[in-house]
Formats: sequence, structure tokens, C-alpha cells
Amino acid sequence: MIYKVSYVIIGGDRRGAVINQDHAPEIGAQVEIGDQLCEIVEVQELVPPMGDFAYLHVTCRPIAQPPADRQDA
Amino acid sequence: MEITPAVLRTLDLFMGLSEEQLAVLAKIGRVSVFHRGDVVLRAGEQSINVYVVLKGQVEVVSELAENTTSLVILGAGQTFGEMSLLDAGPRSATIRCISAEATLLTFDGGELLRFWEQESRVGYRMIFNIARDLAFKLRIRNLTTSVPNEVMKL
Repeated sequence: MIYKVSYVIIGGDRRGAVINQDHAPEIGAQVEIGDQLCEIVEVQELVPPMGDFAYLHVTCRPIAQPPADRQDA
Repeated sequence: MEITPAVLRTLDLFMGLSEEQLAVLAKIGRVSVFHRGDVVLRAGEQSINVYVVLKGQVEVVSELAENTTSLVILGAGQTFGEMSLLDAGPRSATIRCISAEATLLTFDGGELLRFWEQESRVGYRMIFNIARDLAFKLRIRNLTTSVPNEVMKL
């Protein structure tokens, strides 16, 4: 499955991002959007999957320090 | 980076196409590499080329008067430039590379339109996929603009 993910950053300087990835985003995981490291706080299905693609909307918040186990979106 | 049907299959622009159709499209597309700060296209330009991000990230920037606003970041798998292909209007935003490197797949818009004329099932499928992608972006916009600006800092 390929996950087409819309990331929206709460309180960040940037609006967010849209990225295809081969792993599902998980609450608590970290992603790098532009030069901003963020923590995922909410994941919701935007529309039902079609073919090999799932469509998700993720809310995340900026965090200061890059931890070791972050996911590169 | 070699473009194969397997690579194209990971991009929703090509969802629903056969191996043979993907093989033809793989030959039509050109791979370009951009570096941080490079402008891929500029608002106001007249062009109908379509781009797909294969690797890295680009930023969509609105430059109205003296105000520069970041609209969204596009990462792997995302298509841009399709609006001008559909309506022949000027580019509505500037696209800038913001990762150390970004690999893009570029389709000459005229060549793509001619291919769609010849292979109408491919044209139908790809235009459907473009429409679906635009609907996805519109849903996101509806969701995010319903949240107060002071919260989202949009």
C-alpha cells in the first residue's frame, strides 16, 4: 500500500506538506517536513483507499530536537 | 535514476495503467535533478509541462506584490504543473527546491496531450487521476481553512 499523506503543522511557520510514503503514519512518530521536525498527533482517513493508494490526513506539531527514531516522510 | 513501469506504479498519476502503457510513459518522461534553492518554475510563466516529484521536496510559493507565502511542500509522488496543462493559464505559483536535492520527472505538456489523443484510455485514466488529486487537495484546503488562522498560523 502507498500512503498519500497530507501533513498539516499546528503552530508552525509552514502550512504543511503532501507526500507519498510506503509506511502508514503513526501517532507519536516524527516526520521531517521541509526543515521542520514534527511529531504526529492525529491521523485520519480522508477518503477511502483506491487501488494501491490510501489517502490520509495527518496533524502534527513542531518539535525542537531531532530524536533518533524519526520517520523521514 | 532509471524510470521504469515499476517506478511509475508508485505514483498515483499513473494509477490504473497497464505495464505497456507505463512503459511508453517512462520513455516520454525526462528526469531532472534540482538543488536547494533552485527554482523549478516561476509564477506567471507560460508553460504546460507537468512534473512529478520522485525524490526530495519542493515548496509551492505564492509571490503576490512583495508578499511571499509558503503554500505547501510537495514530497515524493506529488504532481504539479497540471493546472496549466488543463487550462493553459500562466503558472499560478513558484516552485522551489527546498531539499538538498530533488529528482523530478518532467513531461512535455504538448507531447503528453498528443499521446492522450492517440491513446484515449490513457488520457481518460490520467485526467481522472489528476482530477482525483485536485479533489484531494481541495478536501485538505477545506479542512485546514476551517481551523482558525491563529491556531494553524496559515
